[in-house]
Amino acid sequence: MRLIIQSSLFILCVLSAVWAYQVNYDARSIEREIRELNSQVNSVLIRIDLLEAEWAFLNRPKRLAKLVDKNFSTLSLVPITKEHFKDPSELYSTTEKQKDGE
Amino acid sequence: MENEFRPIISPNPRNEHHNFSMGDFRFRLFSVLTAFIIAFCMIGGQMIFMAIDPKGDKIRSEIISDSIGSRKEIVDRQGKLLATNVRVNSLYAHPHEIIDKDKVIKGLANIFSNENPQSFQKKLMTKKPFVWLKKTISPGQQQSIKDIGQPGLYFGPREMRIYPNGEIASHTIGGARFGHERVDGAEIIGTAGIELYFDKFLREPSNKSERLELSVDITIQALIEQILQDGIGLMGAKGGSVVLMDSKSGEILSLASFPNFDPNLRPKQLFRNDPANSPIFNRAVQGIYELGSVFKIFTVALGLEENLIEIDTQINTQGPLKIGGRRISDHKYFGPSLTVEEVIVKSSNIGTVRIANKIGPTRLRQFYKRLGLLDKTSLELPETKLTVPQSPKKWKNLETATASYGHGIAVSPVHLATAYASLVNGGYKVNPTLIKRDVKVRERHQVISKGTSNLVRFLLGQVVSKGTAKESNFGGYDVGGKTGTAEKPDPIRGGYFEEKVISTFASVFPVATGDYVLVVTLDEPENNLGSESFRYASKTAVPISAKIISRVAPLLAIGKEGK
Repeated sequence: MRLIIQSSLFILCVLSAVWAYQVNYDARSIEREIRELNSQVNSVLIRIDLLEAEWAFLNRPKRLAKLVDKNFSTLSLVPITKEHFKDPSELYSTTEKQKDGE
Repeated sequence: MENEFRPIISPNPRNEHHNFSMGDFRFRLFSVLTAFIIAFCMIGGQMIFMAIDPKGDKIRSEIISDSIGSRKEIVDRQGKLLATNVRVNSLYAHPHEIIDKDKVIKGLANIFSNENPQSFQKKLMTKKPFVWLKKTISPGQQQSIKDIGQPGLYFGPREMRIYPNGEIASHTIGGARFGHERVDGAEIIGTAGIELYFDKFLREPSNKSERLELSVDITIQALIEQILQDGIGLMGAKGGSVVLMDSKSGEILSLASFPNFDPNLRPKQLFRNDPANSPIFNRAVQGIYELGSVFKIFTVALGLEENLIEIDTQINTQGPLKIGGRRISDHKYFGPSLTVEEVIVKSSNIGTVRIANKIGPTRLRQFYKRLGLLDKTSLELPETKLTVPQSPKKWKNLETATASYGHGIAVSPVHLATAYASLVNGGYKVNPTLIKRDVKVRERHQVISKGTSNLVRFLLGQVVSKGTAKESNFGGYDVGGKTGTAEKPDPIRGGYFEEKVISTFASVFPVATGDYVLVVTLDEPENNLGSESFRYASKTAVPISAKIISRVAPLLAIGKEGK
């Protein structure tokens, strides 16, 4: 009986030690993983910041105005004027006219 | 005699041994079990604590946030990026570790061809253990430095403030520079404009995802800057400024000053001889000018508000007037009298002075004060703190007479735009702001009644339809406004220059609702496009305003029927 109890306690001790080691090892591994993920998140965020800055730079109004002038022959973009605003009823009549034309 | 060698036998040894060993065993077992239970509880508790501890997340988020975006971004009212940070590297050296210093100096001089090679020599030939070589370098330059192949050169990560739109809205944004520098990062601090005014907020580590939203619309700003620059070029003006304001909220949609600069390469300081010649001088905010006839509408508005005049009241325009030893006349003879409407439409100095005489110095001064023309504005720019309007110390008859038509009183274009906004928005006071407001002004302090405000818009509309601004095409929009041409004061000889003027056009559109106020000011313009040369606002500031309104009003979704 005594032997059984002592053996079980010993086994329990060994199992506890193994379990504690396992937990410790897992915790360190997860910490390392978090550090790596943080580093990856940082790199991605830095990249996003850079891309947003680049996007803003590429879409700066002066550049867009130059591109509109340069591509006028194909796009025919003109500044928006008062005449471009239509009343909803005018839009309806235009659609009707188009239908009639068809 | 007892046998000395008799074995000592304790009484009932078996029973005694049994009692002792059972108690001992139970005690030991209990102790071990207790120890184990405590140990398990501690480990289990610690694991639960680790699993649910909020600190863990906090630490992680700090790791992320500390390394990125230390200064908040600035965006326009549409969310377009105006100022952001990008990761770059700095270059520093430990000179004692470098083996071939000449090779390094030569290599750096090749890579940074704009820099003086002697500056590298001076830095590297020192006995100091640490020297900064460049505050920011590009990835390409970094690779070239690595290719030099010498030890002792190091790269430190840091963030750099960049302004993707270049010189657009440069005076509003201001600029930033590096503050405290370390090898693992550098502090960015604002030096002027919004960057300086909101420096504390922008540097605050909490809520880094928050952005500073300005009231400025960058598309409109770019368009206005282009039109202003072209106009200044055509008229050979020294400079100019534009303020576009939402009259209901005081939000500034565009604040332009020309000449401008690129905040990515901000010039260091104002020019010593005349700060107004420097590109970093913000004419719309720092420029204090006598703006002339654009002030006449204030005098007439007060006269109408106080029921001293009606729109059709006849005003004696016989002149010249002599007040306090000064002669006041009109640029041409308008006849013996004009109605109040004609006084504004034809811009009669004499008529305005006669209305001011009815009002009196105290009431006119108080009205200017209520409109904010005598105090600093509350605009969120550090430059406003130093910009105090110039006005007469004592308002006697002469000062009142000249102030009634915008002479002897000097304000900035932002002051003028704010006062016009308060006059045309229904008559309540607005404060200028560069920050986007989600809610309209709730507390309304009336400066004039709604009825007078309607009359003011009508009068301004008449100026454009049949007065001094009638020749320009405003893209088919109904616009109201008032021109002003004021001779510039001569700081050396005293008095005024005859051929140097500040020409201004303060306008409101659409005139029916008075939603937007536009103030265009040109410094020393001269229109030589026709056979004659003109300096009047009607030939200089008005055409530029007309071009701006015809292009900007559609962008503000103002259609045929107003909004």
